[in-house]
Amino acid sequence: MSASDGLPDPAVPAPSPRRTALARLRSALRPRGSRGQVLAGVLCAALGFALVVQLQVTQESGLDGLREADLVRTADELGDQRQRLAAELSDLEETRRGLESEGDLREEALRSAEQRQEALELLAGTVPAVGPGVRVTVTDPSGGVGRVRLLSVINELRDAGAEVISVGGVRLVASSAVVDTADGVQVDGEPVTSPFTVLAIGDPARLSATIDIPGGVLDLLENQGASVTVEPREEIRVTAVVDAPSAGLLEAEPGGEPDAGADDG
Amino acid sequence: MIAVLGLVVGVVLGLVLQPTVPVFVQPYLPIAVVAALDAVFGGLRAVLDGVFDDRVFVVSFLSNVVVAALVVYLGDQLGVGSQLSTGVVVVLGIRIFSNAAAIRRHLFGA
Repeated sequence: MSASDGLPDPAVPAPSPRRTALARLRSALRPRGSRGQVLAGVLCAALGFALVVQLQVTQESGLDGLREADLVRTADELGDQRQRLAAELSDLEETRRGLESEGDLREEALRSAEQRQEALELLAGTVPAVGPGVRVTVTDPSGGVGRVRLLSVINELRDAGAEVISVGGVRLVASSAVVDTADGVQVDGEPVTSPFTVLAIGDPARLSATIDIPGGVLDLLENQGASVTVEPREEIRVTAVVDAPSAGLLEAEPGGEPDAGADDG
Repeated sequence: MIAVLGLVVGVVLGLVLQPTVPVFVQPYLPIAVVAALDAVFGGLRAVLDGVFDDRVFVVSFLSNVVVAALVVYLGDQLGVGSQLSTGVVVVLGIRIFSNAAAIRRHLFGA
């Protein structure tokens, strides 16, 4: 067979399957005009055509080449993913809002606590106070102003809305006591001697009107032979403070000052 | 020879014409191509076995293509198109590999 020419396997005695196969290939490759060959050629042309077309479609298309079901699935997946992400987004936004409002609440609580602290400190008399008010100076040479008169002044001032009061340099707080002693009037153990000053922080007009009212404390005091001046001021400074009680108990007064009178009150 | 010529002509035609694939053919074209490849490998093997027959080749080529496309179409209608086309590709791939192995044994004796 001429098909075996040039093949380097002379050692094989019988025609090998390889040689017959090659021979068959060659004979098949020999062009013949038979109808079958032409048809096969046409089919192969169609195959090559379709192959190339499909390759191009695959290369150029992202979503174009996908079948309808795949597209639907892809769209579904994307929709699901979008929903998941949207839910996550709203969760996170809610968390952010929660944190922000929590911060606001904390600030609010802090502010109100500070306000409360300020109010309580003023009330407890542990901090100096400043504000509009009146300055009442009482000159009492005869010593006729006793506990009752002084308490009347204090109570009238409180009625008129005085927030902070000091008498003769002593801050008046909830536990303050005004007592008569042999030496005169004492406020929280401090003797109040003429002339003494009563400072009150509050509405100046109201406070002075309360003092000045006919038949009021001014008249009472002057009936006792005291002279009283009332000065409304835009700024009254009450620098007297009391020590803050610790653990609900008042601290012992330093220096062993007599406080028996206060206990009596 | 004519078959090889036809293949070359087809490739050139495809490259030159750059046709757009009709939408209704798009899902079936890849499967049909694989089925045709299977038929071509089968034909080549038959040539080497010495049992090649033009009529058998033409019929197997066409039936392969048609059956593959039909199976995928049926799968699409049943809602299992992608799975079924995967199955068809796997089966055809196995056949192509076994045919290629037979061809290799014929041509290289190994």
